[in-house]
Formats: sequence, structure tokens, C-alpha cells
Amino acid sequence: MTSSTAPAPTLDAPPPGPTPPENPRRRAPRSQTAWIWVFLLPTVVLYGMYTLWPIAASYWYSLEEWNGFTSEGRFVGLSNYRAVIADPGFWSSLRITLVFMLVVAPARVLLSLVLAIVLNSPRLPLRGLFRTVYFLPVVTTTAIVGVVMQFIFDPGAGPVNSALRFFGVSEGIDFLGSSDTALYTAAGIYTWKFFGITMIYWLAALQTIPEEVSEAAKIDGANALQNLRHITLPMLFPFLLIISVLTVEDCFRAFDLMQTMTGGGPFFSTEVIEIYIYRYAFAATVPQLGFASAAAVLFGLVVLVVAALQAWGLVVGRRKRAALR
Amino acid sequence: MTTVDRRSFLLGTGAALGAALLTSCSSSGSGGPGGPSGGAGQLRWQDHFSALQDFHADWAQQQSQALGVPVSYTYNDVSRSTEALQLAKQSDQLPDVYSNVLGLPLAALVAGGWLHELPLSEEALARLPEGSFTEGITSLDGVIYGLPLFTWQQYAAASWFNVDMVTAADLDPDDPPRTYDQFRDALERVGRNQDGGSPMILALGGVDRMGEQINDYAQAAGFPGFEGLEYRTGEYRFEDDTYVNAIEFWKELNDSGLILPGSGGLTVADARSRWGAGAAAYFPDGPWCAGGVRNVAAGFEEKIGVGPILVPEGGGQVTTYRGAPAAQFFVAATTADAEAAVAIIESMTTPEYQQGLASGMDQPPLDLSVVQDADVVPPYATLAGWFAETVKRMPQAVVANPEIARVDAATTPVSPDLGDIVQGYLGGDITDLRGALVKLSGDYRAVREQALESATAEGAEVSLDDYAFPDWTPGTDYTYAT
Repeated sequence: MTSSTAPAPTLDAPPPGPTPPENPRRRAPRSQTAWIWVFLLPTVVLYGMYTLWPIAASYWYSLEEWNGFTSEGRFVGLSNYRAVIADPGFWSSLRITLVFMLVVAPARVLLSLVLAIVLNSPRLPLRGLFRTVYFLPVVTTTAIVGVVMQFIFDPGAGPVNSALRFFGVSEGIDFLGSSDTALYTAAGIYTWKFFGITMIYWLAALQTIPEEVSEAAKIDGANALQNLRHITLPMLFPFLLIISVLTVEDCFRAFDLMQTMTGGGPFFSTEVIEIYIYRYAFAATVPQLGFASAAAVLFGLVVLVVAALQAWGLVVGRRKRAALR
Repeated sequence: MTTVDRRSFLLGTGAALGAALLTSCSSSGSGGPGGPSGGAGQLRWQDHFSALQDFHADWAQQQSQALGVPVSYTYNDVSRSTEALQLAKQSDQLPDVYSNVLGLPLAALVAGGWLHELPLSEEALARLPEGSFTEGITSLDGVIYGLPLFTWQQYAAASWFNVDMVTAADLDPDDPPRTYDQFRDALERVGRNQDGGSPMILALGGVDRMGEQINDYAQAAGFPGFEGLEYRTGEYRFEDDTYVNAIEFWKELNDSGLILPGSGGLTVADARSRWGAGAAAYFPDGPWCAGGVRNVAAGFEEKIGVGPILVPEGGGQVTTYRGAPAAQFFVAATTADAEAAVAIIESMTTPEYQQGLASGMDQPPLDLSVVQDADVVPPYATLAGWFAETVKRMPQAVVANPEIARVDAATTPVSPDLGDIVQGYLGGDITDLRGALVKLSGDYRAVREQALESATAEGAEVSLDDYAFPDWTPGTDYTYAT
């Protein structure tokens, strides 16, 4: 009985029958894979030149005392790091950066979620127009927004203060010129400027919720609020983590807006760490590129720690969801 | 017929673009417009003097014809010039002729390969006022490297005003305020009579200029030194009453609402533009205010008046001090046509250029007397006259001992500096002004000691004694003992 002597099929063994044709993508000749690298080359070269090389160079410069005027610097070991750590200005700018992030990130994530839910409603008229309008600031040049906002918040003739005076605030408020209000004003403008990008993330996330689930809930008698609380928000929770990660990382890049709007002032009250680095690297009469590079490396490490915490949060979140299933 | 498929097309296009990219990246030495120092047959001139843009563009054109070599002139904003020159140096593309915004002592620039020597002819040297060149500042070991263009007799805190607004407040524009009290009184009168404008505007966002102006006020009030450094002792004393009183004076004006709201974030250029637009009556600024405001509000220069630097109390002789004139123009060490580049700078010593320079109403020219006959508005000429009478030559450590340049090269910036403290105090972020100034003196002292140690370790023969001039006499031009 040939059938009894035949080996039993296993999961690993290929199924009997004719040999399937080879996957042409897997066995592409070298001449074809070479093309992939040819087309990748511009990106690899440019990314290497303008991202990877400057990062590597910063690490090296941070070990040198170099003002940028001389052809090469003097190796000083870790003394730039010691100087940065001993400088109260560094810690002040780091604190301002973190405060800025803590104000902006939750505002962007939560407010844009509310707006995305509203704009996702099929019953909302002109929702395409509204989506475009809310996204428009994202594609506006940040430096121009910074300059324009100086005029808008001008305490003398700006429209905001004109409106305040109309409503009886006779003195007006120096939103960007007072250290009490400048950082929070800048945070508000930054939130408005990049609000749209977070909104798009949420809108994309909302498209993943099957309509049948909401329909079923409605049939079961759930009202809109219950639908939101028990269907929409739980299903958006996995996206909350990744959107938060992206937004927090984004909030560490406020240089262009802050530099054009306040230049880090008044009295360093809006000097986020990027402006601190810029001040020592380029704005000083005698630049200190080594010192600025050390500050940049330390800030990079802080961002790395924040990213690691967020990655840990993502992993924990996934495990919990897996456990719930 | 051969057909070109998509892959071949992309390959060919990519290769062509790559070749073009490589060609453009390797233009060093090609002599093209972007090449190092213009290359053969082309000279590049770059500076940061905003009020002189038109004049310098015309002058470059004239020099092109006179030298038979195309001269391309480029204005670069002062805030970007330093970085632009750094990048140009590192990529071997320094302009043949460029202005001095580098902030490094001459010795460091020469050692760093930035400068070509500037062998001016006897004729050119004879056209300049005596004492124009100083060892350690414009020359090293007798070799000239930089041309001083502007007078050292100037200050940055003249009281410019809008004649129409001042007249409307029943103030006499020909008798401007000279003391703190007179100035406060004038502001209050403008405040009561003003029709839409504030009494005063201040560039509180331009912290470096604010520091410079407070230094000037302190000197005019009698501080026996410059930038916190006492001439006789060589010690830093920013906490001197003259500094405290000058800052308190501004604080009082600010708290009284006499300064335009929103001045806290204004840069110098912004403040000057707003003043030119009629936003305020008074604006403290340097002599370049007249030329600067003409650039942004043509015609407004006909409505401006000027008062001298303010002092706490009248009656005494007002004196401020400045050091030897610094070099304003250099020839790049990498120039391919040093002869022509030197000729351009040499042309700046001619009476025609000096007249044009004065007419630009930026900083006054090296020879202040030229201003009186130049095409300038009367207040500018008046201010130049005050400069000639009241600004004296101060002692400088680097002139007494050129080795001090090595200390200067090793000196790191202090933060917060005087201008930051002024901004912080006016904005309410600093409450103990004198304490902040005491700390500032300490910071300057520490930075100098560190730089002295560093320079000494590298073999420089320098000491703290180089900063002390016990024989200095107030109200006079300092002369160095031989």
C-alpha cells in the first residue's frame, strides 16, 4: 500500500503537486536590485549629508573649543559638557522647552480630537471646507506666521489689543513683550499653527472605526454621547499613544516660530533650548560652537529619554490590549 | 530607429544632473562668480552697512571702470554677516573685500588666515587723519591689515526727536533736553499734547544696543571707565551709581507709561522704523539713525532733530570716551587679485568717497570735519560737532600691550549681559538691580581671569596690570607713556 508508506504531510512541508513558479520579486537579478539602490541613492546621500553627518559632527565638535573662525578647534574633552551643565541658562531653557511641550502637546492632541470628531460627522455641511481651513496654518511658512503674529499681538495697534480696548481693557496686554505672558502666547500660537496636522491624524484614525459598530449601538439605543464614550473613544485609544508620541516630538521643534516672534525674550522667558543653542553657536560676537554642540547633544539625550518613555508606553499599551482580547 | 525607454531616459537624466551637481560643487578655483574671492577677472565686495547700500553700489560700479575689473557689491544684513563669512571662509569663498563683523582681535584673524595685508600708498596714508592706525587693532608688527572708516568720536545714545511732535507740545526743537529731568519733562509734555503718538520709543528687544546706550549714559554721568571697566584700577564696577541711576531713569520712564507700549520686543531696526512712521516723539539712537530712518521712511529725515547725550544733572562738562578706531574693511587672504582689492580699499581714503560716506549719514567718517561740508541734514552735522567736542580717547589695554589681543580671543561672552539686565529690570524679571550688576561685574572678572590664564598658558605675556591706567585724567585724550 503505497498510500500507507507515504510520509504524512506536515505543516512545514510544501504541499504536494507541481512546483509553484518562483516569485520574480524574490529572485530579481542583481541588475534589477541595483536600480533600487540607484533610485535610493539621492535620498541616502542627502540624508547622510544633511542629517547624519551633522549629528556625527556635533558629537565631535562638542569635544572641541572652536569659534568657527579658525580652521580647526582645540580638543578639550568633556569641558564643554561641564560648562553647559554648570550654566543656569541651559537648565532654564530646558525647563522652558519642557513647559512649552507640556502646554502645547495636550492642547493639540485633545482639542484636535474634539474638532476631528465634529468634522467627521457626515451631517456637518461644508466639512471639506472646514477641514481645509483648519489645515491651512500648517502649510503657511512658520517664520511668516511669527512675524505676522508680532503685529497681531502688538500692544499698541494690534487687532487683539484693539479688541481688548473696545471691551474696556484700556491698558491693553503686551502679550509677547511681557515675560509673564510671552511663553503662553507663543504656546497658543504654536498650537493653532500645527493644530491641523494632529487633526488629520485623528481624522485618519476615525476612518478605522467600522460604521456597523456605531449603527449597532444606535439600534441598541445608545445616544451620541454614549456612542462617543463607549465606542469611539475606546477604539481611538491605540491611536492616542502614537499621536501623542508624534506631537510631543513635534513640540521640541519650535525654533523658527519662537525666533521670529520673540527671539527668546523678553529676558530669556521664551528661550527654548534650540534658541539657546543658536545663541551660542551663531548669534554671539564670538561663537562657541563646541559649547553649543555640547548643549545640542545633551538636549538630544533628553529627547531620546522622552522617546524611550513613550516607546515603553506604546509597548505597555499593546500588551494590555492583547491581554484584554 | 533607436528608441529610448524610460529606464534609459532616467539613467541619462540622472547622470547629467549628477555631473552638473559635481561640477557646481567643485567650482573652487574656477574663477566663476561663486568661486574663491571672485577669482581672476572678478572682485567681490561684501559689507553690512545698510545706510550706505546705494552709495557703495555706485562706488563699486565706478571702481569697476577705474580698475578695469568687474566689481560686484553685495549688502548683507549685519545679523547674517558673521555667519555668512564663517561659511565663506570654511568653503574658501571669502569675498575679496569685506567689512569687519567678525568680533575677533586682529591677531587672531591674521593667525586664522582671514586677512591679506593692506599696503596702502603714501598718498592714501597722507589723506587720513593722524593716529588712524593702531598697533594691535589695525596693524601688527607695523603691517597694516584693516582700514578704519568711521570716527572713534561718537556715541550711541543721542536723543533724536520728531520736530513736528515736539513743536506741537510747545517745546523748542533748537533747545533739546540735556538732563534726565529736562528729558522727563519733555516726554510728559509730549504725552499731554500728543496726537496719536507716544512720547518715546525704546528698542528694548535690542539688548546689545541697550547695553551700549547705558554704558554711554554712565560715562556721560561720570563713570571713569567704559563697559564697566574702570580705567585707573582696571576693575569691573557695573554696580557704580552712574549705571544704577541710568537704568533707574529708564525704568521710571517705562513705569510712567512714557515709553511706547510693546517696546519690550522691538529690535533697533523695528523701533527706528516705527519712530520714522510717527509712533513716538523721541528715540535714543546713534548717529546712524538719520541715514537709517531715511532708508525706511524717505523724507522723514527732514523732520528730525537731535539732542546730545543726557546727563543726570546739568552744569558740568559732558565727556564720553572711545578707543582707537577699529578696522572696518579687510582684504581676504585668499584674494586672487590683491592689487585690485587693495585699490578698492585705497579708494575709500579719497575725499570723494569720504564725502559720499558722510552723506550716507551712517557712522561719521574718520575725519569728522568732512561732515560739515557734506550733503547731510543739519541735525547730523550738529551731532558730529558735539562728537568732536565731547568724545575723548580712552586708554586701552590692547594698545598698551598688543599681547592682550590673545586674551580677547580667549574671552567668552557673559550672559546675562548688561542689556539683558536692563531688559529684565524694566520688564520686572529682575528686582534687585544693584545685586544683578554686582554679579555682572563678577562674571566679567571671572571670564577675564579665565582668558588671562588661557593666554598665559599659551605663552602670552599679559597680566591684570595691563588693564589699569593709574595716570588717566578725566576729560582728556589719553596718551600712552613711551
